[in-house]
Order: sequence, then structure tokens, then C-alpha cells
Amino acid sequence: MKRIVPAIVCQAALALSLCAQGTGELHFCLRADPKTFDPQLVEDEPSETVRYLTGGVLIRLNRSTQKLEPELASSWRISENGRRIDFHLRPGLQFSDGSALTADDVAWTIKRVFDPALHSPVGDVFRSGPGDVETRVIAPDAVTVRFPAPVSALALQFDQLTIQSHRAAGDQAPVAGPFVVAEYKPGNYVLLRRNNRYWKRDANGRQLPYLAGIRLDIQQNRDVESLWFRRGEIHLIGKLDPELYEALARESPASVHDAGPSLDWVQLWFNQVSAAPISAVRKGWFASTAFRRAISYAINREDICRVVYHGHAKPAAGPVSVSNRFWFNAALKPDEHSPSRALELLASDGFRKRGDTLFDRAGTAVEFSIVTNSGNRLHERILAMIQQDLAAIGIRVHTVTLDFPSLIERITRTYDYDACLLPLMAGLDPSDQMNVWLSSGAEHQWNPRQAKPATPWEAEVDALMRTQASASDDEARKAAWDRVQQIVHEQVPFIFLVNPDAMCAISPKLRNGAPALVWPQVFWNVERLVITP
Amino acid sequence: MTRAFTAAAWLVLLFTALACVAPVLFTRSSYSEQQRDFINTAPCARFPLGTDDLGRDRLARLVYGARTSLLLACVAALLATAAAALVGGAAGWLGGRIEKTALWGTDLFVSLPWLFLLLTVRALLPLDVSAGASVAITFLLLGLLGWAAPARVVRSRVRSLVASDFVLQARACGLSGTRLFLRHILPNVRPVLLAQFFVSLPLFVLSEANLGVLGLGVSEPLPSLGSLLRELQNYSMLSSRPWALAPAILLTSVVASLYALATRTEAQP
Amino acid sequence: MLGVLARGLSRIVLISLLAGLIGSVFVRLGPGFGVSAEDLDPRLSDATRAEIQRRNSAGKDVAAYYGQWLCGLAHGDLGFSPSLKRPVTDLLRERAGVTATEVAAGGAAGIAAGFLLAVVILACPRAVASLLCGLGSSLALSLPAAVIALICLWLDANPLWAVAAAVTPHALQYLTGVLSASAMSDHVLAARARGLGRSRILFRHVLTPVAGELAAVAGMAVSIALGASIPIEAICSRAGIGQLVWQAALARDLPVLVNVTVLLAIVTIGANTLTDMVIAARNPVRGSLP
Repeated sequence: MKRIVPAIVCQAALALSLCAQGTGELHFCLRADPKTFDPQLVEDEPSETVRYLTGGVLIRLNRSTQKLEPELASSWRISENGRRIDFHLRPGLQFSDGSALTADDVAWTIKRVFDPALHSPVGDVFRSGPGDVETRVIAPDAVTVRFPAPVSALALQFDQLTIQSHRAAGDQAPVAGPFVVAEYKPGNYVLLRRNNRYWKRDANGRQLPYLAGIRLDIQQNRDVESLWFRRGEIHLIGKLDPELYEALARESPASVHDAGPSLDWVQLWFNQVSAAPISAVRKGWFASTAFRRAISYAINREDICRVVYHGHAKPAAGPVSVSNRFWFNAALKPDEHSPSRALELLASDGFRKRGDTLFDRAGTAVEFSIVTNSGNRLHERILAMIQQDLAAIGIRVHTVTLDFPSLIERITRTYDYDACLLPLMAGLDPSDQMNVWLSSGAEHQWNPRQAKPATPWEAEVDALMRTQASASDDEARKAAWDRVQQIVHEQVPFIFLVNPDAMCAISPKLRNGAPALVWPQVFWNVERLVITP
Repeated sequence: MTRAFTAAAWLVLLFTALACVAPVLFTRSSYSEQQRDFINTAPCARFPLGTDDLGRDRLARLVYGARTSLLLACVAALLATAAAALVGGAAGWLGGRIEKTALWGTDLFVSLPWLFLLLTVRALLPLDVSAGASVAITFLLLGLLGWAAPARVVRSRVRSLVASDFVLQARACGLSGTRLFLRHILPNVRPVLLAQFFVSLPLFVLSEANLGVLGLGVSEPLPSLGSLLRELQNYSMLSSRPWALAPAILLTSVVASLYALATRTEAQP
Repeated sequence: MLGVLARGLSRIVLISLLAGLIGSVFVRLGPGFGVSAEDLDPRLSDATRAEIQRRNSAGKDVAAYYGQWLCGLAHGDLGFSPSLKRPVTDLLRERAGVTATEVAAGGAAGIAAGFLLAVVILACPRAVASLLCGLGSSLALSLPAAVIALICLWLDANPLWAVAAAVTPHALQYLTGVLSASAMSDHVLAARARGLGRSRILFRHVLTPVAGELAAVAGMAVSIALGASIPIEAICSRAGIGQLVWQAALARDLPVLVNVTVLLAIVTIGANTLTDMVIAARNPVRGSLP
């Protein structure tokens, strides 16, 4: 009885606060202006945030359970080995302007997304082969979509596809998500208001969302963002960096949340492009697996996690985070810090350490540069630590921070660099990384766009990636992806350093927040969030 | 004011002495070695100014950084002031088309987005250029680019002097152009040049910090005053580690002391 | 008079357009032109990448681009920003007012503060007040503009005070030099010897002869205020030209950068030209106004 009464009181208080439908305005920050409000042309995170908050999708990935859930579609069926998907829509769906959302709108949206003139990034994730996509409206609430080739993780991809009205287009087009864009002041904020025609209701039949609106302030500076959070002017901060996490944790421990290792990783790779304008001597070093493996052993990942991330990171073993429970290859372990093992591997390749300097078999002192993007304190510190770790085995490292466009030009166009340190933002499914692991891929960073695989192991990885992309059975896909992870761990084209934790700050006034690992970490269940007075 | 002058003189002597003996007091490893078990330590006997985010001795980094930055900033400020004196002085003294051309040139120079020229310089430099060469190039560029705004100031001062009565009187007495310029114009422009020099000094130190964001600043592990000052932009650091203000206090003290000495020197007949 | 104004205006326009052309060459030839963060997105197909590259490479031929831009300028069309995906006219229209207010108000406050402090230092050279003025000025010079902006944010102060704080030390240094040189002139010594009061000496014999040079500080203040506005707007989240410049520079957005270069050149050179006219009127010597 003693426990029941307070619980009843809390529930009653929450219910009372929800009585006035749509109360409270959620405030948080975007790091830049959204570049577009057209959901099919979204390329940047601020635009993706607006899309998530306003767009209605057929299937939604529950960020907490990592399971797919029906949204606008009440059910779906995949057949023909992942080439065909049939949707059945919920009854009574409406856009924010009151017009009905039917199968015609779904068909129109899919046709639009696959229009080659549109160059939609959303369409790219579905492109599995040449040919057109066929859509067929079976009934006002039923539609079939057939792709020219099997699409791996087909249902998951629909989490990104926002259904648009075929009657209206442009930035003011009606939406089917929980909120509608009410006002946009460039450089200042985006204001969203509640969509009163949103289809979802809670267990008590009350219409969602609970919030009256959302204000997205545009603020690039993370220190200012944390200042606003401390003052109560914003209610949440996603992708919190470790220093700010620690600072906020000292002041208000209940407001910060560490959901564990995120899906992302930070990696270092060496330039292995044969046509790169770097010396042949260095090309020879970087092409050696023993050299790359030695560098991996020389780097102290535990120290990076402890010093740079204040313990809020885990050493990474491969391209899949341990938090990606299904796809992670548990047999792989991160390379331990072992300068002696590093020197053994180097010795096997003809390198010799004399005094404080490492020399190759030709007597050339080993030195090279590592570039990363400037303005990122974490990367700059990681570089400084790697510099000291490699100095311990006699390698002289020059650290260079470049502004982002200059860096991108070097690593994707001119290939005028030795090594690069950058993070990679990964999704759950290995299909998101096709362009990274296929030797012909543009994101095969160490040696992109190969006409044919440069090494036998890259040829094997190509075959395995194609296998997992075309297989419909998850276990078959997992087996192929496990083998890819194993090969990559052995050959070290990327030296995987750490998986940073997914950290966020949530104001005590914000209820029903449940931080997840997958973006959007905090507001993934925005329709159920409540601001208490 | 004599006490202030004495204090300023002592401070300048102290900084100069520190700059000279820095390589003796602190070796390369003093400022670069990461003591990873002592990160963000508060000031103590072992680390008088504490340690930074990577466990490096802040005092060693401050002394070395100040030495590098202030020395190079002085050279850059001298270069910029000398160029300003040359261009501005010639424009104001000679007048006519030369003045017009100089003004057009300085206005054009001030209006250009030099940021992209600096990025191009970075792109042309090899990535493994040494840290010392990198910071020297940065300050040289700043000196070469920083003359235009002061040149206008010098030019307006020279022009007003040219129009003044005592110069008119000197001309009437038959003084030649060169002697007039050296004896009567230049000494009266000196306060303005000194003011420009002292304004440029911290400006270049801070500019080097901002250029670090573009890859043009000093590279690890060499510290610079600018890179140490850039840490101050981290709000949470300032509130929890106020000793991180030491670089700002040092730079302020140096600038204030030099300026006090200069104005005092000017005040004496 | 009209002739002088016409010459001044033509000077402003010509130099600004030249600055825009040279600036566009710098941007085009600088590293990172035509690339964007989307180049690192593994989800994009080759066709989409090629389209993004094509959009970002608008202006590859600088001469042709600049010619098109000049034609567009004649019709009021300033081009389209590939990074912000909006017409440049709209971007500038929304933001110019914010920066103009900051620069005008902050610059004026900075000049006024610098002038007052210079007068204090001149009037009381031995006093503690002078020492404090010098120290305060040195501190303001030694702190990055971004830190000053953060301090304003903590204090909930209007960002124009951050601009004023950036301008004040420069104005103070310059004005102190000018005023102290003027104060040491013979006619001031003569006025003192005749027993004239301090304030009369200050306003009649120290300030009046250097009024033209005092006007020169306005031109300097405009340049400094514009430069300081970039980090201040970024931190204080003010949607002004400074914030736009920084975003466009990072994105190598040629249409925005050309337009902003020309706009800032017009403002800076306009202020300098006005200053020159005032100086020329005060000190008519051989040679004329530009």
C-alpha cells in the first residue's frame, strides 16, 4: 500500500499534466541550418532531424529495441527473395492538411524517389541493380513495390522513406508525422507545431504527440549549447562529447546518460592508392600488412579511451560495434597495446630500431604524416597520443589538422596524404557499408574506386559483401559479414581505434526519454515525450 | 608612474630572461611528454601550473609557447609596421598620384579574402613540414598581410603633419625634402607606429591560434601561445580549471609592460 | 563637391568589383573547392555523388562565372548558394541588418570608449586610472574574440558589447598615440605657459588640430568590427553576415563568398573613403582626394 499510493499519485500527476492536450514546447539545438525541407533530398543531419520529426514512414525502427515496427503500414510482406514488398496501410490516415493518405501517395512517393533527375539520397539506399522500380496500387490501402534486384534489409530501408502527398509539393507540403514545420528563421531557429491529424494514439486512446511543439535553435558551438542546457533553456543534448558529459555530470548527475558504445568508430588508415603523389618508399611501407598490424599494436587504445574519452569509449576490434548485438563478430578482440609485438612484426618486414629511430631495410628513417579535421578536440588529442605511442617504437609522426574541405579533397580527389584519422558513422545493417567494403566503392578509403581488386583478400571481401547483400536469410548474411570482419581484422586496411559511447543530456523536466544507441538517440520517441512544468 | 615603469621594466626583463633560458630549463620532452596518469592535474609542486588534457606540463608549454609566439609575433609585427610605415609614409609625404595609388592598393588589399590564400599556402606546403617551420611561415604570412590597415593610419598622420605649421616653417627655412622627412615627420609618426606595433603583437598571436583551425598554425607537439589561448574557448574548462587563464595573463602582462615602457620612453624629452 | 562624391563612389565600386574578382580566383584555386561532406557518405550512389559535385562546382570557370554574376547583378540576381540552397539575395537581405547594427553600434561604442579612456590617460598620466586603462586594453587585445563573446553570453549582455570590446583597445591605442603627440606640440606648451585651463587646452588645442585623424579611427573601427563579428555571431548565434561568411568559407560556397567580399569591400572602402574626404578637407595639401 505504501508503494502503491505514491505510484498512483505520480501517474495522476502525469495524467493531469497531459490533460490539456499538447502541452509544453521541447527545445533543443541543431548544429547548422537545415539545407532542405524536402525529405527525399536530405543529406545533412539538421535536415534529417526535421524529417524525422515531421515525416510519416511506413515502417519505423524502434531505436530502443532495434526492432522494426509498423507505422503508416499496419503490416508488410517481403517476397521474391527481397525483390518485392507488399504494404497494407492503416485505415483513416491523413496528412496534416486533412487530405487522405492512401496507396496512391505511397506509389507517387516511391516513383519520385527513384526519379533519376531528382538524385535522391533516399533512393540510393534502395538501388540494388539497374532497372526501374514498379509500384502497383492494389487498393486504396494496399500497394506493392517490386525492385529490379533484391534489396538487402529491405524493410529497414523504409525507415528513411517519408511518404509525401501526391497532391502538393514543395517546402509547405503537408506531412504525416507528429509535427509540422510552422516557422523557419534562417540562422536562428525552426519552429514545429503539433500535427493534430497524426494517426498515433497512446494506450488510453489519447492522440499523440503530447508536446505542443518543438523549437530547434541553431547553434554550432557545443559550449554554448551546454550553457543553455545548464540554464534550462534547452531540454536535451544529443551526441554529447565526453568533456561536457563530465562537466554536466558534476553539476547534475541525473541529467546525463551514457547508453554504452555507439555504433560509430574512429579509425586510422594508410594511403594505399598506387597513383598517390607520395614517395614510393612510403607506399611500400603502407602496403605491408605487417607494418599496418605493427602500428595497430603500438597504439594504446585503452589510454585513448581513458584520457580522451574519460572512460566513455571502448577499444574497437572491427567495423561493427559491440552494441550492434546481432551483427557483431564476438570472436574478434581489439589489438592490445604491445610495443614489443609491434617491433617483432616490423622486424619480420625488415625494419630495425637503432637508438630512438626506426629504419626500414633500405636504411630510411620511418616517418610520415597523419591528417585529421581541425576543430575537433577529440581527434586532435587522439593524434597527439598516437604521435607519442609511435615515437616509442621509433616512428616520427607529423600531425596535421586541416579544415574539412581541404581534408576531403586530399582523401577523395588528390590522394595527397600519408595517413588519415576520421570517424565513420555506421548504421545497424552491413548494407549501409557496401561502398566502404567493395573495392570499387567510393568510400573504400585506403584505395577507392579500384577497377579490379588490388589484393586477393579484397576480392574475397567483394564476393562476401555481394553475398550478404543478395541473401534473404539473416543467418547467411551474418556468416558472410562475420567473415568480412575477420578478414579486415587480419589485413588491417583500417586500424580501428575506439567505439565512442553514445552520451546525451536530458533535462529532468523531460519525461519518457529513453536514450538509445541509434540516431536519433534522445528524441526517437518524440511523440511520447512530455515537458513537466 | 615611476613605480609602474620600474615594474614594467622588471617584467620585460623577466620575460626576456625566461625566453633565453627556456631551452635550458625545459627540454623538448618537458613540453611534449604526456604523463597519462596525471591528466588535468591542479597546480602542485611537481607541476606548478598543473597539466593539460594529455598530462603535459602546462608551465613548460607556457614558457616554450610564449617564447615561440612572442618572438615570431614581434618579427611579424615589425615587418607589418615597417611595411605600413613605408607605404603609408610615402603616400602621405609624396601625395598626388602616388598617394592615390597607395590608397587604392591598401583598400584593395584590406578587402580581399586572404583566408583562401592562406589555405592555398597550406595546400602547397608538404604535410611533413616541421612544426617550427610551419609556425614561422604562419607568422611571416601574417606580417606580410597585416600592413594595409596600419598603412592608412600612418598615411593620415603623415598628411596632417605635412600640413602643420612647423613643417611649413621648416620648408620656408629651406630644409630639403629628405631632411624634413627624417627630422620632422618621422619622429612625430613614431608614436603611431609604436601604437600599431603593440596592437599588432597580440593580434598576430591570436591570429596564429585561429589559423590553427585551418591547419596553418603550429603542429603538435610544439606549443604556441595562440594554441594555448584557443583552449579558453572551452567554457567548461574555464570554470573548472581557472589556472588555464595563465596564457592570457602572460600575454596581457607582456603587452601592457612593453606598452608602458614605450609610452614612458616617448614621454621623456 | 559632386565631382568629389562621384569620384569617391566610382572608386568604391571599382575596387569592390576588383576585390570580388580576385576573391573568386582565390576561392576557386584554393583547396577544397567543389567538395562537400557528402563525399564521405557511404550511402550515396555514384550518380548522386556526381550530381552533388556538379552543383558544388558552379563557378569552375572563374572568368565566365564572374561575367555571369555581373550580368545577374545588373538584374538584382546575386546567384544561388549551393551549400545553403537558397538565393544569395535572400540570405544577404535577412542578415545584413543584424551585422550592420552590430558593427555600427558596437563600433561606435568602441570608439567612444576608446576616446574616453584616451582622454583619461592623457589627463591623468600618473594616476592609477591610466594604468588600469592600459591593463584593461591589453587584456581585451589578448583575449580571443570568441572568448569575449562567451563572456557576453555568460553575462547575458548584447553581443554588440563584444564587438565594442574588440574595437576599444585598437581605438584606445591609436587615439592615445595621436592625442599624446598633439599634446606635446609647441602650441600646447605655449597655451599651458599662458595659464589656460586643462579642459580648454584639451578641447581647443589638443583635439581640434587632430580632428581629421580622429575621423580616421572610424574607418579602422569598421574593419575591426567586421572582423570581430565572425566569431561573435557564430558563438552568440546571431544570424548575420559574419556567420554566413564562416559557413560559406567552410563550404567553399563561391556565390556567397563573392557577394559578401564585394559587400564588405563596399562597406570598408566606403568608410575609408569618407575618412579620406574628411582628412583632405581638414588638411588641404598638394594632391587631392582619390
